[in-house]
Amino acid sequence: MIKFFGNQMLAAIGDLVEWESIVMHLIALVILTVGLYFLLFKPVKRMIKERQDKIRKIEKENVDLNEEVKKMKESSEIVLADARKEAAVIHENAIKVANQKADEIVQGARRQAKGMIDRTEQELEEERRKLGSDIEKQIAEVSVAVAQKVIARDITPEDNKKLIEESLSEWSKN
Amino acid sequence: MKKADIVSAAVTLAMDVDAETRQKIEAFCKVRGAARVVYTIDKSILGGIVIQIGDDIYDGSLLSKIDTVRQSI
Repeated sequence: MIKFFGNQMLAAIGDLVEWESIVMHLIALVILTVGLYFLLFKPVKRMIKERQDKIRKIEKENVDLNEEVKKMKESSEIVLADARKEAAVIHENAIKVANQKADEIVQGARRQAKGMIDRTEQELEEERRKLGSDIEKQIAEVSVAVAQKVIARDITPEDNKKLIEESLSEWSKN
Repeated sequence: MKKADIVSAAVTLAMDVDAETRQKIEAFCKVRGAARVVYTIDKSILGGIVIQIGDDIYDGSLLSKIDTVRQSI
């Protein structure tokens, strides 16, 4: 029964379709396909390949550039770190030098002040000594003047005679 | 100075003295070549005696002794 219906369908299709036309269409399709392959597919494929190559090249360049940027960044970080270290050392040295200078200035000022104090004390001591000496001298002079006055008032002829005789006796020995 | 040139001794006293003392003074002056003695009273020498015979001066006055003490201090 199935075979009957199959034969019936094939017979109906055979009535509807012209086999020559189908073959011609197939041949035209093959020719069109071959033509399209050579005229359109190959250039497009080549163009796509070129574009892919270009993209790859750009990507490679990007990678290279990224590497370079990375290297430059690392290098600049190293330089920056070195510069920071150097700046820290310079800053530390500057502080040391400034502290040293400040210490020297303070020491110098102390030495100068001590020298001034010592000189002043020496001058004071000298003045004190001189004043003491002057006072002693004045006391001695006053004492001598008083003694002179007392002697002038109290000397007796006997004392005077004795003095004269002592002087004559002493001079006669020489 | 030659002895022949010395004719007098200048004796300065603070006050007058007795004859005995004068004799001693004159004897001293004579030994040193003075033929004559001239006395002068000068209270400023305070006491003692100053004799000048030519260029020689013998100073035994209290004033000179006090001056010596003054200079020493």
